[in-house]
Amino acid sequence: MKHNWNIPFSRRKLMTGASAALATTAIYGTLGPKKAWAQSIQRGGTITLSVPGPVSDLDPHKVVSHESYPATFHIYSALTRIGSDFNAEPELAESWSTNDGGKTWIFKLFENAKFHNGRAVTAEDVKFSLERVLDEKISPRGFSSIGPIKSVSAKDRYTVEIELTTTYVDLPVDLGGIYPRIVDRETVDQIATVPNGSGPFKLASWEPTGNTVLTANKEYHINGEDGRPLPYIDSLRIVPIKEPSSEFAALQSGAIDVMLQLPFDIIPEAQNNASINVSATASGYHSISLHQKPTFSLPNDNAHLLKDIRVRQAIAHAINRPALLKLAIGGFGTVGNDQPIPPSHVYGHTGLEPRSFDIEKGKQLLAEAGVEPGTRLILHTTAGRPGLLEHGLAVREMAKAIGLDIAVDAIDISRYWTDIEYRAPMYMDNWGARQTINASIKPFYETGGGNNTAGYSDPVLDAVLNQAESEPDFSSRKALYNQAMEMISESAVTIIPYFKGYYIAMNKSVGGVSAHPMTYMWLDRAHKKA
Amino acid sequence: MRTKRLDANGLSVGVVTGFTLFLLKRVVGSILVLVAISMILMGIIQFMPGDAVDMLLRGISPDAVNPEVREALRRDLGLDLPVWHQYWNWISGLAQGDFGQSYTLKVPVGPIIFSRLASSLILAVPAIIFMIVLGIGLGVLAALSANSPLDGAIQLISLVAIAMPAFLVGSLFLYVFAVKLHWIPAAFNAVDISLFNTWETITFFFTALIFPCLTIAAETVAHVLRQTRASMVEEMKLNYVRAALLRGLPQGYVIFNHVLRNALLPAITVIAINVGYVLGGVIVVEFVFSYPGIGNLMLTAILTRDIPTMLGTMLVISAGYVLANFVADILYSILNPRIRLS
Repeated sequence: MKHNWNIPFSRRKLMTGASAALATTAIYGTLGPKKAWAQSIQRGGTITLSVPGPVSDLDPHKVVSHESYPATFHIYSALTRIGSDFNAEPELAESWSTNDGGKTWIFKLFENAKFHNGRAVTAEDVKFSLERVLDEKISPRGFSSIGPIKSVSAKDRYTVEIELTTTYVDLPVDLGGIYPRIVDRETVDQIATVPNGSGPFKLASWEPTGNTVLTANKEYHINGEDGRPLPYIDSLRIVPIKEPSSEFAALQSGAIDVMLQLPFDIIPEAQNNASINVSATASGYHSISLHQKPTFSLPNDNAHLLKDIRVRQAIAHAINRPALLKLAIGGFGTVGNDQPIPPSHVYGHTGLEPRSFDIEKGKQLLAEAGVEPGTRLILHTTAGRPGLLEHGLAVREMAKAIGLDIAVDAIDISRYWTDIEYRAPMYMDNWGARQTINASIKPFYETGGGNNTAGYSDPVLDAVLNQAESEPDFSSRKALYNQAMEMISESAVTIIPYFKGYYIAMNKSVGGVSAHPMTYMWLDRAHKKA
Repeated sequence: MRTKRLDANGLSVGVVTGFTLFLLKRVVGSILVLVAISMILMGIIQFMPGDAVDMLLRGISPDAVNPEVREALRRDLGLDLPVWHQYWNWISGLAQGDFGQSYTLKVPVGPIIFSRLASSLILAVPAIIFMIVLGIGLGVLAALSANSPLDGAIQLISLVAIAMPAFLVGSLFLYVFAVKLHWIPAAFNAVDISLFNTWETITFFFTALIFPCLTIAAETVAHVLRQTRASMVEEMKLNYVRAALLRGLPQGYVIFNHVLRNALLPAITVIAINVGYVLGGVIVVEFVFSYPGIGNLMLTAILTRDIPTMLGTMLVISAGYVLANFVADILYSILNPRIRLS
């Protein structure tokens, strides 16, 4: 088995990888003359995308499942689109600006953008849509993900003003996320089954729990490399295939063209297949949360010890990170340092080294904490996400070296998110990348944060995060976030031994598709190669 | 047996055959069983961890969710009502043919269930036919050649079929016939049948769908085969068979008109049980072959705690079991009238 020990995480490095370069080139046309590239595009045809589950939501403000994003992203446009470098690119907004350092924002809309029913997209639609997302009862998952918005107003037919509660420079990026899609305010009552968006594709058919078919929106307002409206293909089929080996077999046989997510154990086979391209990027991490306020306790579990920073750090020292990376996800990632931002990120802390693999140090910390050899802890994990069970078993074995007896309790995925996550004393979790530095850190570590997996609370850290969020100057902001990363890593409330790679696979006949660090899938520039 | 029904004055008001009574009892019994199953299903669901709102809010810390929002969402779905009230709402709707509205899809559940059921029956019906024809046929063949090499070979194959779970057989078929030979699609829902002409559709049906059908049928054929063989062998040892043969009746006549008829009684029970197994096997096979049937629908509903879809799919599958047992009872009574008399 061939292991890729260093995922090309930076965009520059990404482009050195053959497959990634091909995909990146195809999407943005950054390499080679555009004209020549445009000539290789073959318009028309259908691309079939496989996803692990069916498209279950067509309302972009209520969407729950990851598998539904390819539908909602292509049916509905947002003001911006988040690029592979985490920068905002124009989508419905032609341009945006702020005159006060980031507290009030003006977005100018493309005047030729239309909904699928032919009506122009206006500032009133943007106002309606963002206010709908901000309603927690309508969008319980989305309302806190679109920045500190105080009010939205339509200044004229194509100009939107957004006032924030605090200075916040990442608003344009947040507005390209999952939820702030712009819907038609006049047809919103039919949104669950008859969506009317302004995206590059229109809904042709939707079989709930089955296949979804989208057709090209010939009136889409953004042009391709050949000067004609995107998308290049005529239709897009989204097909749910639950079993990954069946999914990969379907890709090999040509029944599908693109696979949304390539499991780690299939990556080597895909990379060695002459008819398949693999595209990779960094995206997210696996973590062990050491909960400070668990909602339940189990017999024979000494979970109270996890409140002691020395015990948490001892466990972190017991982990051989390169070995764990290889055992859990086949080496398809990079070593982590117990905080959620990889060094290759624009805000990455390159000076923060991974905690050393040091058994003696681990034993010493446990002794100082008064922990007897053979003390038992229970680690909850699940086989329902690739690598998490292997990760847990490897940690169990590694912890024996410092005298801890960690029992692994593998929980079925159907109850993991309702019974274990945010609740268990020690459990594993799986996270994808977030669109902004703020969204990647603050909800996970601020007191009472929406994704505070360890129930952690540190008023000093809260103050640093609040200050960083509203700091407009990049250097000062980066310094503050680096300070936060050091505090998080030191606390060891979430042990993050590695950052994952995200891999997609496609037939070599397909161009214009690449792995996006947010695991988003854009297919408006996808095409069959000429 | 014929039962004379008399009015208060002792006058005859009609005649009901014993068989009709037997049939009525079985119909009423089956309906009661289904009602009991529906209650049990509703009860089991209450013990499942989390509900549709928990699944909707998964990934968000419970501490960060406004309790009022959580309650409002639960109220919208009727999850705040007592269990008996939820059950009554569901069962009274069902009595009028309304399976309810999916919590996650926001569309009526009934049409989805019956559309998926039709897809599943495309796999299940041929699998049941395979089970009956091959199971009884091979069982008779094995019994007639008992203790011969042919019998040994059939028994060995049947043991292998029983020992191999459906997901393994299906995965093997997929690997060989989809990945290596490209004869069948690796994921059936990736095939766009709307692009096929009539001939291609027929070809697809007989060439590709045969594999999931065989996957479901493999184990059940073995069960029926083994039961048929055992019953036949025991039956052929009985004196009446020997007497019939000594009287000069043709062997084929004796076997097919007497031995097989009696040997089929226990086989029918096994077939009825295995019809239920086929309905369960469809779930596994649909998963392996990514086939859009009722099993896949049920799995998705369980993962999202979509109670109306869960209840609807489970009840339909349960109804399949009940129907299979009902048919078995009827066949039993036809083959052995003593059963309905008792």
